[in-house]
Amino acid sequence: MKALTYAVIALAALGLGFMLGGIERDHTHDAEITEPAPAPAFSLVDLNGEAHTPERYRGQLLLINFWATWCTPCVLEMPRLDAAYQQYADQGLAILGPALDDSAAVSSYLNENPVSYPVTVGDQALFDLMDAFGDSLGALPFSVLIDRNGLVVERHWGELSDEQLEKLIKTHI
Amino acid sequence: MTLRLPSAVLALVFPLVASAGFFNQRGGQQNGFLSANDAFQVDALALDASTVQARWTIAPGYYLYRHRLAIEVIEPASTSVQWQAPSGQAYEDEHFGAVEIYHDTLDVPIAVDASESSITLELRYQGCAEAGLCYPPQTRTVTLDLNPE
Repeated sequence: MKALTYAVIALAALGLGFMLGGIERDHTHDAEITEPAPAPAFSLVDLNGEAHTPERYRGQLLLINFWATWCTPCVLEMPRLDAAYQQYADQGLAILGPALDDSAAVSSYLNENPVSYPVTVGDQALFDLMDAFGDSLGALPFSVLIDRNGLVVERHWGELSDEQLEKLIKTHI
Repeated sequence: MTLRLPSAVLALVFPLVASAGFFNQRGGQQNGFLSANDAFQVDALALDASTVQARWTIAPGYYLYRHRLAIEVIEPASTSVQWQAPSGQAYEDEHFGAVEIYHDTLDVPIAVDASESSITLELRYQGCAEAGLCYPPQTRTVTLDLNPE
C-alpha cells in the first residue's frame, strides 16, 4: 500500500513537472541565465568598415541580433529593433546586427529597408559566434543581450514582439 | 498507513525536478525549438531503376517553403533527373509575399534517366517554425542503389 502511495505521488509529480516544463517551453523562447557569463570575444566589421568588439560597448547595454534576408521573422522584427534603438540609444542601448547572409543580399535589403544601427555580414564565423553565445540550432533570429559590465544576461530565440523587446530593454537599461 | 517524510519528499521532488528540466535543453532541441534535422527529416528511396522518391517528414509546428526546394544530381554527371515540386498550401508570407508551404509529409517523385546503377542526389530545402524562427538553407546528399532488391 505504501509503495502504491509513493508511486502515485511520483507519477503526479512527474506529470506536473512535464506540464510546468512544457508551459515554459511553449510561451517563452528565452534561456534562463542563472549565472551571467562574460561575452565571448569577437570582432565584427560592419558595412562601413568599422570594427565592433565587446570592449567597445563596455558601459552600454548591447543587443546583438543575428539575422538574414531569407528569414521572415528576422526582417519583421528589424523595424521594431530600429525604433527601440532610436528611443533608448541616449540611455545607453546599442544594437548590432550580424547577418548570416551574402553581402549583396544584405546591401540590397538595407537600401530598401535601412536601419540606424550597424550591420555586419558573415557566414560560418557568425554561426560559430552564435554557438559561443550558447546557441546550438543555428536558426534565426537569435538575440543576446550583454549588460554594461560585458556579461551575457539574456538570450532569445525567435522573433521579439514589441512587448518582449520593451521588457528586455527596460529590465536591463 | 504512515508515510515516512523523507521518502515521500523524494518521491515528490525528484520526478518533478527531473521532468521539468527535460524541456530546458536536450539533444536536438533548444528552448522549445527543434534542430533542423529533427524539424525536417529527409530520406530518399529508389523505387526501381528509374524512379526515386524523396520524402520530408515535417514536425508539427514547422513548414518548408516550396520555392526553396531543389534537387540535383551530384554524380554520375551523365545521369539526369526530372522532378516537380507538388502544390503546397497557399501562404501569405509577410516578407516573401504569396508563397506555398508544406506541412506534415512531402513526397517528391524523381524520374531518373540512369546511366549507372547508383546515383548521388543533393536535396536542398529551407523552412521555419511557426513560432517565428527560420533555419538556414539545408543540404542533404544521398547515394542510392538504383537496383533495389
